[in-house]
Amino acid sequence: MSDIYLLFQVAGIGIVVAMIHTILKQMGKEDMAQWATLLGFILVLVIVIEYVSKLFQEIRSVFLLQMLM
Amino acid sequence: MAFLQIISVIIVAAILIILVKEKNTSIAYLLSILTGTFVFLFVLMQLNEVFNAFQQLTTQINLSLLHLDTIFKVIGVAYITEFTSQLLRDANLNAIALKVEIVGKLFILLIALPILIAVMEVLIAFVPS
Repeated sequence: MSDIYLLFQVAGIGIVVAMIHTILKQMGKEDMAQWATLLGFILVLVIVIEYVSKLFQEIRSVFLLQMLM
Repeated sequence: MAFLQIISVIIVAAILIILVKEKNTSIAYLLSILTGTFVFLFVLMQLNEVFNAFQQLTTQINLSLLHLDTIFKVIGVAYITEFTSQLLRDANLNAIALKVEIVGKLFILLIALPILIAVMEVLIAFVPS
């Protein structure tokens, strides 16, 4: 059940980052907005990669794929 | 019970992805990867039980385990290839999705090679030389 919370968190990060981007743009700080969006993206990327690597570890153990990878 | 749970998680995730897609397409795509990962982790749990049942079956009837391991490996490779190529296709990167599928087929061939050779040897034995 905990995975649904993570989905909500990631969606929240996405929306917050988009809002920060527009706010900073209105304030005139164009480059800061780009940096904020990039930072949000990297944060979500780290979360996703951690889960994908967990999935691949699980696949290797279930399908006895030790020697191949 | 778990079935309804995972279906509801998928529906909620789909709505979240649509919501985030307008504001920020890249994070929406990452969210779809995350959803795919959750579904595949769930499927793996169930698949593990199926494989354990198969292994008990083979030990009882002492079927040759060599082929069972190869079958598991082939399924695993196909599993990952399908996961990755569907993700790439979802991001409209069809060319790269095809590349991933070619790599997957190659590795399946590599895994199934010993069986192929064994079959060939049996066939050659039949040919009256």
